[in-house]
Amino acid sequence: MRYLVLRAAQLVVVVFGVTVVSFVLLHLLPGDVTTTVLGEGASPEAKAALRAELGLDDPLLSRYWEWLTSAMRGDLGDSLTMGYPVTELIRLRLPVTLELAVVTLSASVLLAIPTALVAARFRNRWQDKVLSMGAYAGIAAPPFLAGILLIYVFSVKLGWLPATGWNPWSEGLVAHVRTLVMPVASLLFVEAAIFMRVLRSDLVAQLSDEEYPLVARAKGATMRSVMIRHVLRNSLLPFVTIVGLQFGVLLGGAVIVEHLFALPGLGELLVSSIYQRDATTVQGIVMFIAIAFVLINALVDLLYRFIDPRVKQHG
Amino acid sequence: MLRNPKHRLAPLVVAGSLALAACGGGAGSADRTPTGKAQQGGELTVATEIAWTTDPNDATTFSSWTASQAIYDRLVYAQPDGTVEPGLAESVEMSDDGRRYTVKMRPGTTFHDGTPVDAEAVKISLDRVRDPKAPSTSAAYFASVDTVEVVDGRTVQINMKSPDVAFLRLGLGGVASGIVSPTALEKYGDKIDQNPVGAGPFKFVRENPGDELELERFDDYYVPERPYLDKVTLKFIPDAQARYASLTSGAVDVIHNIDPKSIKSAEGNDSVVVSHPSGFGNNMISLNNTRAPFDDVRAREAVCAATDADAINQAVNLGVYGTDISSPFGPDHPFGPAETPAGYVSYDLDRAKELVDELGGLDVTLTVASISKSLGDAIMAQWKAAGIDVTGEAVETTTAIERATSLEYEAMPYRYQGDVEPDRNVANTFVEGAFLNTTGYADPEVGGLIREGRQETDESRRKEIYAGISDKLAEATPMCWLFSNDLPQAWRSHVGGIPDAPDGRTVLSDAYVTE
Amino acid sequence: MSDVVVAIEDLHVAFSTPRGEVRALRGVSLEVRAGRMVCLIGESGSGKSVTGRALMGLLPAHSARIGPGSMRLHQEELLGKSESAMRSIRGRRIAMIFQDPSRALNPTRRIGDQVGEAIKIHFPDRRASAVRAKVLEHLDSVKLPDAARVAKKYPHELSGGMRQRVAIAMALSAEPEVLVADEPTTALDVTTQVQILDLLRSLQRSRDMSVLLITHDMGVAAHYADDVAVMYAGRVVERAPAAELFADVEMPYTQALLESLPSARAGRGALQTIPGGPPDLALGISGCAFAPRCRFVTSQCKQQPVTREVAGDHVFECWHPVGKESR
Ligand SMILES: Nc1ncnc2c1ncn2[C@@H]1O[C@H](COP(=O)(O)OP(=O)(O)OP(=O)(O)O)[C@@H](O)[C@H]1O
Ligand code: SF4
Ligand SMILES: [Mg+2]
Repeated sequence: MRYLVLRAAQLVVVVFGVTVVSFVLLHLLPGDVTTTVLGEGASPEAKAALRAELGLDDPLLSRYWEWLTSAMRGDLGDSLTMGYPVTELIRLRLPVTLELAVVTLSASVLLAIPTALVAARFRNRWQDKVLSMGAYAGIAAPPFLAGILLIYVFSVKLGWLPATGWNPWSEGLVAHVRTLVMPVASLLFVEAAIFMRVLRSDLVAQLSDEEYPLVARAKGATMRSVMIRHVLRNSLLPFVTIVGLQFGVLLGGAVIVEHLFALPGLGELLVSSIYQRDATTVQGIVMFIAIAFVLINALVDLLYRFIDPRVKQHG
Repeated sequence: MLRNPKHRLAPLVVAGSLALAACGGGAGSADRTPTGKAQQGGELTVATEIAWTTDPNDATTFSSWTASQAIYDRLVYAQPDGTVEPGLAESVEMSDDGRRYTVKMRPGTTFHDGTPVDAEAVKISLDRVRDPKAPSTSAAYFASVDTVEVVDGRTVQINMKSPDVAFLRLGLGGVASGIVSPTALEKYGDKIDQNPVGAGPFKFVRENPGDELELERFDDYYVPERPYLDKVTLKFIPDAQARYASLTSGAVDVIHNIDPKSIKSAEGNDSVVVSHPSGFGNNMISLNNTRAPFDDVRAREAVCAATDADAINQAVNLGVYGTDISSPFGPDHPFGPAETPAGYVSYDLDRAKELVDELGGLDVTLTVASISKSLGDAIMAQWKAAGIDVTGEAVETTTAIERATSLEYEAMPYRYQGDVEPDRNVANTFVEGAFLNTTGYADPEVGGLIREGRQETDESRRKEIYAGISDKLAEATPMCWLFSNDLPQAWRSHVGGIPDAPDGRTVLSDAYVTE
Repeated sequence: MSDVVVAIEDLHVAFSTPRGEVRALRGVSLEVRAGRMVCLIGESGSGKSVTGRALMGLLPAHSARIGPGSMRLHQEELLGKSESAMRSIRGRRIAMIFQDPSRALNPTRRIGDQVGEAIKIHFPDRRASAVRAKVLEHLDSVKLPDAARVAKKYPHELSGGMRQRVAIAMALSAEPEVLVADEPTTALDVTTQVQILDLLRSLQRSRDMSVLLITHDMGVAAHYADDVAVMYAGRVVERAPAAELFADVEMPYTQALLESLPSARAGRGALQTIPGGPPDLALGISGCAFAPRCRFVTSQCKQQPVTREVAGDHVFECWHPVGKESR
């Protein structure tokens, strides 16, 4: 109960803080949405009229207050550039980003766990060296380049996959997966590499700093069983932490991949809205992501309790 | 050639000696006509570089023009060659004093929702453009309009505050003359952009905002047998490389703003056709004439003589954009000077060095929007070669625009769109205090010529006036011209019927696919 | 002798480290006989744990070089056995208890699971219920109150002493004949230490187990050992039945350890009363390793002393013995 109250308080503080900061930052950025809406060649009179219409000349505080009070009522306002309600835009785009994030993370986790186990098990030996080198390469290969390369090979040269776009589930599983494969693949290696390195280093620490793995071996357990049944679970805390963190990051930040593959996701919308100074859209998405972050954090906390029995006592 | 059959229905009548639309004008593109014949049916996907709005009132980009024009037919169309063709209006007549336009509507046309396209609808749409509470982004082109009157069911009279010839192409021929169904306006109000209803060749089906727009054939379109296509989709693909890859892999049929590298690669690709007319406007190096060092004409001449536009074009655009410019008008602009003005400063390194010596050295800060970094680097390298002491300063795009328009910089690469209506290329830029005057240039004589050009109804007289403006500007050298501001498109070779568009939009009314 | 269960003979172990080769065991010889408790005693770094782990086959495979030498369980040579062969011995025939019970238990698994693990490994055919019964039996045998409840707990819910009892139950769960207990009480407070050691001895007696009890506390050895082996710098320098040894110490190092005994009882740090420190095992050692700290050192001590027998089961290595042999 105390925990829930604490979480709720955290949610309020984070969302409030984040939206205030983004509001102020947006205000401080040079240029405003009228240039976007009216075009570079718009006259100052037209801009002034639009500013007045959009209420951009009202004091910052009252604008924020107005936004906040209607946000409380679930109304995030209309996009300044697109005219659509921001909640509607988020609703349309969230599934894309969410699916991209969830699929990417799941695939990365599935790739990271066995590789980290092998690397830690054979620490400093060739298996570890090969995998760690792969991880370095994964981290060094930016998703954008990976994406371009994938497009070149699988769309342009081989013609197997569509270069861009997003087929929703309604167009059938195969069509859907065909548009999902390359975006996921371009993110996969970076994410998997990050996860693999975090997990590997904690597995190694468990193996060298703790005695229980040795105790398990002293009982006659195989190395494989020691890694999987003993060490892995104890290394999951930092692991789920980083996965949770990356989840949050992907929710707002798969921008580059969304941009490249022209996926109608939240990240692309957020960035283009920032460029266009579309304050309501930016505010709405930022608030949404802040809430998502807090919720993911809570989820990670819950997972902690599930993974490590000690957490309950301290929590 | 612009194979638009609309104008065969009725000639456009404009009083005075304004050009009559003539069949067969315009830049030729016959060599790129697909092998198959135009046929009914089929689908087409257009990949845009930026997101769009369908509302003609808010359309400022070539994406929006494409979307808006497909849904909303305009009263008339200003063609790239300077001619004006009829659209929803059967004829437009301008009074001899240039103070009154009479628009006669085509009979029997309807909007997608069945509402007739009558004089009342036109009045409502044009008044909406000028609504002081929510003015259109094109409101400036309607600034000379005083009132719009319904004369009869098919006739609208537009009364001007002052004679304005530019209004024909920019106002009546512009995107904002896309007429909106008054029934829909009544129903949806300011949500019309989400529920667009016009009288254009395609009607709205569905939109995923900022991502995808789906349109389908409007069966009661007033032009017989048009449009050809059953369905048109606009797809937002912001990345240039991904856009081109989507085209070559067949995922989309048309792409906006193909980048120079892809243009080069398309040369060897039989399945891709590049449509690359020169833009109406230009890229230049804007110089701040109001403060040192560029308040001295010798300093401006020095940097312009030091600027090898061809080499820069090669470095930045692989040489694909036009550099045959010496005025505010793009290379093929119908109102551009026939030949290079006498006083024009072209590339001449020796002259540049001489001028720098004469000035006792030249110290310049070049402000560059961070996205134009390579352009800035190319310019700086050349200026340095002429002995100019140049320092680069990178700023964000919006900051660059603000610094330029408030004259807080020394030199800055800049560009503007331009229009087939020549007034658009000069009035905002070379008149004292004009909001796009990034040089601070102020010559009352040129200001007078610009005013004259806007009021002159005689077309050949107008050409002379704009040539005169070009001469004056060449003498004063307020800025250095670089290359045209192009927005080339590309489509797959089975696509036909899309005219070359210097402003980068895709006109879909006659588009077809062969199979 | 036929009742020798574990015989280690002239065992060498070296580790490759960034500092060079560390020669941790330089010819260890040791015997553990049936049903006896052998205390392996020596200063920190003398190689006690390495000896224990070598016996378990738990030295890090890639950095430890094991041999030459011999380790036999009954007549069976362990050195050079495959990992899978060692696995069937570990836990089942030789088990091990570690120093710090708070690190020896997996914090994320229930006590019952951890105690049952060795049973499941070595008796894969046993049904879950039989395993559970065995687990409770073993938890009972280490005198944990309410075994059923303890089985459901996680390690952090138990005290240090209870954890070490669990560790013992865990080690004994597959009923091994040899138990290596590597300083099982160092991490515990004094009263608990005594309880745990008493428990170990009673279990050893009731099961007729052989125990190799590693300690650096001479007091523990004096109280609990049947046999004592003294290690110094990677060698066993003196070993004998406890009674024999305390009656007649031959090796000066053993003597120094014994002299520090009263203060050892009082607490920790007793062994530090011997001036100086052990030699660096990464450097070559020739002659008697204790020489730099020895009161009786002579030039002869530059030679490795030969192993001498007092009686058949009391051996030591020193050129100048201080006990009966000095006469
Ligand atoms: N894995 C290893 N790698 C390198 N050196 C090691 C390793 N294990 C032990 N050593 C070295 O071997 C020597 C003997 O270590 P060991 O752990 O057996 O000492 P110990 O007698 O058990 O001491 P303590 O009373 O501190 O436990 C030490 O010098 C130690 O540094
Ligand atoms: S051999 Fe020499 S140095 Fe070594 S213990 Fe005996 S007397 Fe001391
Ligand atoms: Mg030890």
